[in-house]
Amino acid sequence: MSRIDWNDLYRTTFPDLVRFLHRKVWDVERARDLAQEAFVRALEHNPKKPRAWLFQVAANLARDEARTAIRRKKHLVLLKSDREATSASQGGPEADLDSKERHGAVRNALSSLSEKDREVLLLWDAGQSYSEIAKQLDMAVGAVGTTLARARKRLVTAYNQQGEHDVARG
Amino acid sequence: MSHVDDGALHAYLDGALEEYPIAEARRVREHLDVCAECSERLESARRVRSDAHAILSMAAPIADAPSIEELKSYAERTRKIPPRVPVHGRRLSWAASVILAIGVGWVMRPDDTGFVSESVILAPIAITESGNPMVETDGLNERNLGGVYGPSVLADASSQGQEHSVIDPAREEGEVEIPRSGVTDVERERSRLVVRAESGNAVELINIETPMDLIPDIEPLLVAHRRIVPSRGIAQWDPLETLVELEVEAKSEGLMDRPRSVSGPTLVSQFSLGRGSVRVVPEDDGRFKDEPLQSVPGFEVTRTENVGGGRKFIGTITTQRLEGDYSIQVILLEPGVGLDVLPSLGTSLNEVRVKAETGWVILRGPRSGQELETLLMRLFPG
Repeated sequence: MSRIDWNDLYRTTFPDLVRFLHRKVWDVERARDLAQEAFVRALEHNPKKPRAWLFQVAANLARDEARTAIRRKKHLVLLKSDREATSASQGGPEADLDSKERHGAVRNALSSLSEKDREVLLLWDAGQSYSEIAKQLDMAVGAVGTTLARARKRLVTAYNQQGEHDVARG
Repeated sequence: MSHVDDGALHAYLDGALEEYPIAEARRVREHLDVCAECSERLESARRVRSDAHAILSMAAPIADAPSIEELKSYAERTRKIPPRVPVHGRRLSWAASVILAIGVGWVMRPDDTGFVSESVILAPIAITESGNPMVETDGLNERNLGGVYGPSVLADASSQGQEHSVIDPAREEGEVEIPRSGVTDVERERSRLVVRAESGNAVELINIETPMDLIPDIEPLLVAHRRIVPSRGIAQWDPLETLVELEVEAKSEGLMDRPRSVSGPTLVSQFSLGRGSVRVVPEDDGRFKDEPLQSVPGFEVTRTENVGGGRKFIGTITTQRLEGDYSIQVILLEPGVGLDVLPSLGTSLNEVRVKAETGWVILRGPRSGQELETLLMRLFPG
C-alpha cells in the first residue's frame, strides 16, 4: 500500500474541508477548528482512503456541533490571516452589510433543501467525486447526479425567491 | 431511444460520466449528439449549475491550512485520555455531555422450531465528556437520557458492580460477540429499540435510543415481525468517529420459503445511532447461496420492507432500481393474503399482478403495463 503524503493531502484538502464545514456550521473559525479536528483524527487513524474519511468525519463533527455545544478551548490559531474577514472589512461597512446579506441569503437557500440534497451539493462543491459522494451517503452513483440536479435547481430557485437576490442579476 | 435524465445531464457537465457504467455513459454521449431536445435541456442544466455554483461561492471562506507540524503538535497536546472511572463512581447525567457508542448486530440461525433467533455482537462503548474520551457506567438501568444528543446509543450493564468487559475505552475498534443464544428479547419501546442479550455471566440491556423515523426499516424487521432478520452481524466501532452507521442486510424468512426467493441478503437499512460503526452483514449463508436474487435482472434492490404495519407478516415490498433510471416495486404477498392490504398506487405508477401458489406477486412502476409485464416475466420466467 502506498504511503499517504499527509503534507500534500493536508494542503490540498484542508480548504475544501473548511468550505464544506462552513456551510454547515456557518462560522468560519469553527469550520476551521472542525477541519483541524478531522485531520487530527485522520493522523491518529491513518485511514486507507483519507480524503473520503475526512469528509465523513467532518460531516459527523458538524452534525455533533449542531447537537451539542462542545466546550473546549481553541488549541491552535488555525489561520494566520482571515482572508474573508479582511476582504469584507476592506470594503467598508456597506460592503460588510452586503456581504452579510448575501451570506444570509445563501444560508436560507441552502436550508430550504432537504438534508440529503444539501449534503450531496456541499460535498460536490467541496470537491468530492460522484463515487466518493455515493459511497459516503450510501447511494448509487447515478443517484448523485439526480440529486445534484434537483439540489441545484432548488438552491437557485430558493435564492432567487428571496427577492433582491437574483443570481442571474449578480 | 429514451431521453437523458437530468441527473445524467448534470453528471455530463460535472465530468462525472466516467463514473457511470460504461454503456450508460456512452448512451448519454451518443444521445446528446443527436437529440436537439436534450441538447437544449443540457444548456438549461448548464445555467442552473453555473448559478448554483455562483450562489455557493458567495459564502465560501478561503482557508489556508496551518502547517502539518502545528497540527501534529496540536494532536499531541489534546489527545490525553483520562483514567477510567469506576463503575459506581459517578452517575450519568444530562449535564455530563456524554455520548455513548455501541455496535449491535444480530446473527440469525434457525432454532428448534424453525424460527430464527438472533445473536448480538457488541462493539466497545465509548463515552466522551467535554470532548475527552472516558468511560462511565453506573450499573443496571442507569440511563443516559440521550435526547439532547439526538440519536444516540445507550448501554446498560448489570455487571453487579464490576466493570463490564464490553465497555473498553482502550479498544479503538473491534467487535465482541455474544453467543447466538444470548439474545433474549428484541422489542420496540416507544422511541427505542431495545435488545436484551446475555453475555457470559452478565446481562446486557442494550437500549438503542434513536428516533424510529431514522430507522424506518429496522423496526418491522427486528421488532414487529421477527420474520426478517439479518443473517450475521459485525459491529465495527471507532470511538473517534461520530456516528454509528448501522447497515442491516437481511433476509425475509417468508421469502426464503418461496421457490424463487431472496438469495443474498438485501441491504435493508443504514442509519446513524451514535458514535461508532455498526454493520450487519450476512454470515456464510451457504444455505441460500444458490438461490437466485429476487430482483429483476438489471435492477438493484435498494429497499425491502414489510407490507402493512402490523405484527403479522403478510408480505414484502422490495424497491428495485435500474441504475440511473427508474425504480419499481415488487410486492410479494403471503398465501391467502388479499390485495386489500396493498398500499395505494401512486398516480404515476402502473401495476401488473399475478397470483401464484405462493401468493400474489405485484409489480409496480412508472412504466406501461406491457413493460411491467415484461419485467414480471423476467422476474419469474415461465
